Amino acid sequence: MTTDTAVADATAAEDGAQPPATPSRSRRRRRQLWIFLAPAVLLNLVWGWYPLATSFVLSFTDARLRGDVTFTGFESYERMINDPLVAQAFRVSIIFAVLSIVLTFVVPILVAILLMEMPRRTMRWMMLLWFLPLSSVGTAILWRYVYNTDYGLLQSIATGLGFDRQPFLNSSDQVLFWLVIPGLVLYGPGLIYLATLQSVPTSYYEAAEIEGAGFWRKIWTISLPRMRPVILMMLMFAVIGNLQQFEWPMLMTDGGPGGASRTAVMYVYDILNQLRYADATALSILLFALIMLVVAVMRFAIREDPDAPPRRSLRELVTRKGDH
Amino acid sequence: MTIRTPRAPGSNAAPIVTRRSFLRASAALGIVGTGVVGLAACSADDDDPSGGPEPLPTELAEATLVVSDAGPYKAVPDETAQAENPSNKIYADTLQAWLDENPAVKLEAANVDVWNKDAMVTAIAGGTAPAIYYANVIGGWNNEGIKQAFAQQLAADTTDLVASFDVVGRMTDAARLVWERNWAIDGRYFGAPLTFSIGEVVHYRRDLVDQLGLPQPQLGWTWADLRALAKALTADGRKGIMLRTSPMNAAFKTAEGADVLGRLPNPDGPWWWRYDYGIDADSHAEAVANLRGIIFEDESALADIGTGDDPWAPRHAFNRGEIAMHINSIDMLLQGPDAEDGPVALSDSVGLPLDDVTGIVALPAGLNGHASPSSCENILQSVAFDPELGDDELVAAFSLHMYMNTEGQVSRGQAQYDAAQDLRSVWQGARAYPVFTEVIDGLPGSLAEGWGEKIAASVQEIAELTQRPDPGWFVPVESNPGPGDEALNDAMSKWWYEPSEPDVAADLDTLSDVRNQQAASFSSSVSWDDFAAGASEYYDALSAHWEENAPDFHRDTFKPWLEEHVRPALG
Repeated sequence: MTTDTAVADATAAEDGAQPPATPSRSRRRRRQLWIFLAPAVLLNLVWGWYPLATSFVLSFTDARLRGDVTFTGFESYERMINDPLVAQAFRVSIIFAVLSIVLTFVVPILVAILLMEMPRRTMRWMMLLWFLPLSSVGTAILWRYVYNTDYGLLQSIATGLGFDRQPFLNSSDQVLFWLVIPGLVLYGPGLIYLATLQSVPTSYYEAAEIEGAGFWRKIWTISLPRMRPVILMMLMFAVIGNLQQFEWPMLMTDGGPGGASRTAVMYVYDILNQLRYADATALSILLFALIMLVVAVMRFAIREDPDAPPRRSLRELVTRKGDH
Repeated sequence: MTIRTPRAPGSNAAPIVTRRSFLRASAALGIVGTGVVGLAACSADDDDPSGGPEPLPTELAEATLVVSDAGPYKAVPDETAQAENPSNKIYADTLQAWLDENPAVKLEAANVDVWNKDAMVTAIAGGTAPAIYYANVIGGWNNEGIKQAFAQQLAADTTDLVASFDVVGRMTDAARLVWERNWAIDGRYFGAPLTFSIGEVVHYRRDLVDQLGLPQPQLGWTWADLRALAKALTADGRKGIMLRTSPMNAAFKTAEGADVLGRLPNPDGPWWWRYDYGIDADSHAEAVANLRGIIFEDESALADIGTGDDPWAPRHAFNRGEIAMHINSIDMLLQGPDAEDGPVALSDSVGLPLDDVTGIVALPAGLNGHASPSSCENILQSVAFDPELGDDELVAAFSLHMYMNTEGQVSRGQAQYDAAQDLRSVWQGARAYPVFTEVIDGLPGSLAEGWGEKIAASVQEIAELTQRPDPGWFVPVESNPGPGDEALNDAMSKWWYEPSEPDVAADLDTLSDVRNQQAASFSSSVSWDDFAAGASEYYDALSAHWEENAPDFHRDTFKPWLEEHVRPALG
């Protein structure tokens, strides 16, 4: 449930009990709201929106670090759009995101559901083991050795089982698959699912059991519907995060072989290293546009929680609630 | 889809805005983007061109220099640090002597990662850079990148100070050559020399070669010879060599001449270079097959994309006896006696002097005589100075640098020798080949006395190799960035790591297409006439170099290529 729907929910519960606010109370209420919001808005403007807006403007210039800046129009965008490696990098990013979501998104959900079914003591131990705060960089470096074709653990297992030597990360056909696989052991999102499940009243399950519901039935009719808003939010985050993937391919393959694992953000980084700031910014904005498009499609295609109450604007809330 | 906004090279038609007005304009726009945040803090100082060299002041004026903990000159270590590590004490004593002589200069410690290019470039743009930093870092460790960084005003102009301190006159011959060729832009300098190195060389197990009764590898050997030696040294669970990405890339680009023969002048512009790697495709395919043969046919090499370009993995494997050769910086050999898992530990475990266990030899020449007798490149590491420094601060920073690399280096070396009584602790790593002659004269002992006659002779031999001419020596530096090397690196990483057999000729055609598509959208900041004049000089020098050093290659490959593809383009 999103914050504003929660607020709307609470407000709806109080509707009717409160008289309409007078104009002076409403103004005072608005002023209070802005005073509380001001620090967050200010920080966001200074550290978030201003640099981002500046970056957008920079993409239309030659963006030198020192000296005068010259407006160059769409030159950087033209250069990026006509660069064959940009298309390749976007392709890699999209395939990586799709693979990652298909192969790793469901696992933490299943793990969370299964953990809930375990005895409390066992659950705590399993949580400790599975949800250890693993360093992503450290894990990537560890997996680099696991995948080593000469002396890696996986190669030993493969040859020990009688298979031919495997290329793992050295193959441009397989590299993205192997880069995604370590995501299976990073259960960070599982904690969020677990917290959601723990907030489901046990009476729901007890009632279901009285009605004769089995394990799968309870998951299908109680657990998953209650987790739905969180799953959708995590899916959105997963799409956004995976389309901006950088550190794993950077640490494990440096984008190779043959650029088969060079993501869009890695290419931005490469271009930045060549002091081509306008090009890097233009490419970042193209990536931003792609992510916005994907998110917009997802928001359009996936319905919100049908049980959620209708949304209300802040103005509406303020006007209706008065200074209560 | 093409969105073209034509702009003639060098045209001033586009509106110029000052940084202040630019930032104002950008602040007004609440449009979301992502990317370069640090650029927001850029400033627009117009450095006035300096006049002639001025005499040095007898006493340094008041100045506070911000220095990074990560080097090149950190602030004086505190007493605890000095007590914990004797080398900190030696450094502190050396630096304090200079500070005592120059009481008006203060050092202020800052935590800036001077080894990180992004961090440094952002710091320079934002006005938070240390006074002195590694110039090679901001240039991405390549000559072209360094000059471009200077052209973009990322370092202070030090031409007058270089003259005032007689920097050039005090340098060794080998260092001076590199300094004048690689670090000068139109006769001006933007830093000061720090260390000299013969760069990457082949490290090999001399004792194993002797045990097998094989001839020792020598200057002028080829990549085919290296392959044969790697195969011969592969035995008893030991591989012949560990291959990193960059030496393999260098083998293709430099030793096999791809970076010369694949790049042609392009008078049609707007970028003055175009690419055609297919011209010498057969030779390139042969070179690729030879390198791949070491990995996939002979199975005498460790090579994995995950190891990539990590220089420490082969060093560790070599010192543990798991491989018999690796290609790495000479600094990886000349590590002090205390270096854990270092070459000295290897010689101790074998029970022979280091000189008899480990040999170094120049990188192999190309299969077809390209880059003969070697593709080694002498490297000069330099420091640059914050372009925001005032005159007094710049003089103080330059003075500190010169002291630490002349008198300071001598007194430090002497103190190290007094403490350890081991010349290897004096002539180690980047300090093994001082840039200034007075340091060589002043330090106790010599490289040969510290590390052995054979190693010293090899270093000397490689340092004296004729360097292949580089376009940067002749062609005016671009202030506009050009296309990157990603496409070329992609092709090579596929060849070195993909087990499936590549179609090298097809890959080269694709590579040429990609690079030409990229180049077509860049504009050169140099006029064609200036470019063509510089390029002509470059090709003349290259022709003379190969005529002398690789006459067969010059006659059969280079000269016909030059006459057919280059001369007509240059007019």
